[in-house]
Amino acid sequence: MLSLNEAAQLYVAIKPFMPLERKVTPLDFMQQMVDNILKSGNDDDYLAIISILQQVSPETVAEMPPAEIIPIFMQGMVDNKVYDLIDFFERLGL
Amino acid sequence: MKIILNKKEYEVSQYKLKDWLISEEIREKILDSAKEGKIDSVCNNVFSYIEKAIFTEIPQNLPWYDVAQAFMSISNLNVPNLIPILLGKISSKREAWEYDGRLWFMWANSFAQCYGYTLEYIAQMEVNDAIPLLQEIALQKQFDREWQWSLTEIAYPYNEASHRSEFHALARPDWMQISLKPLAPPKKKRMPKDAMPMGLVIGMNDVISE
Repeated sequence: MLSLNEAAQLYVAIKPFMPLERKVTPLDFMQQMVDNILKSGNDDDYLAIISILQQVSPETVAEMPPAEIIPIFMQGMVDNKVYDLIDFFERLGL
Repeated sequence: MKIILNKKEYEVSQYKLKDWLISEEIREKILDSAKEGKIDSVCNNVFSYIEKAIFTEIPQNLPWYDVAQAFMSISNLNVPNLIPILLGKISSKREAWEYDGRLWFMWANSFAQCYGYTLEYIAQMEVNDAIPLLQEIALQKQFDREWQWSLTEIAYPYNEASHRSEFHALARPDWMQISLKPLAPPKKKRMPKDAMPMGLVIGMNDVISE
């Protein structure tokens, strides 16, 4: 699991892509987040999120096969209890 | 209350007044840093907040969830009873005479001046006794000011329309105009079955209810 500082960085990175609707299953929530990131067309944001989750540089992530990235994203969100993470940093007003 | 961090158990208890005021200043720094998007400052102050309660330095690489649980537990343990003075707006403007740690001296000055308590005694006051007392001090000062105001000429401006002087009361701070209403019970909402977590799940709300 990420440290507090890394979790805060992750929160800031995923914040613009968070679905407004929270009454969905966690899987749908994460899928919508991936869709939002892809729709934004900003690959750098996606690489930044994966690099925080994997603790590697964005350049290393860019070299990964695309098929590996989505499972890393999903697993990272689950491992880091993304709902609670969002809830905590929202409470802090970040 | 016990909290577990880095595989160690720590006993934390409710703060007395001085420690509570210091911890509130740290909480304020967290909120201010969050507003400004300063991640490092938010995290450092979260650690300071916890370390103040457990009297031990904790490594920064602990899982965020454990740190967040500890923070919320300590924070919830020290929530004071809500009374009107706590609902007043706080000016975000930092005056020239402000400094870190002033909150304690401000409160200590009020209690020492009004009741003659010693600094040691004030530091060890129960938070839920100190806040209502501070409200009483603030009320008394306001009523004194209102009395003095009512004796001055400017409290009775001349009304051209009625050709009479009319009394204009001194404005009261906003917290004196708020009445505390009991909260309505929360509305029940249906949660989709497939959105429910599986197994034993401890979320932030469980920590809060403790």
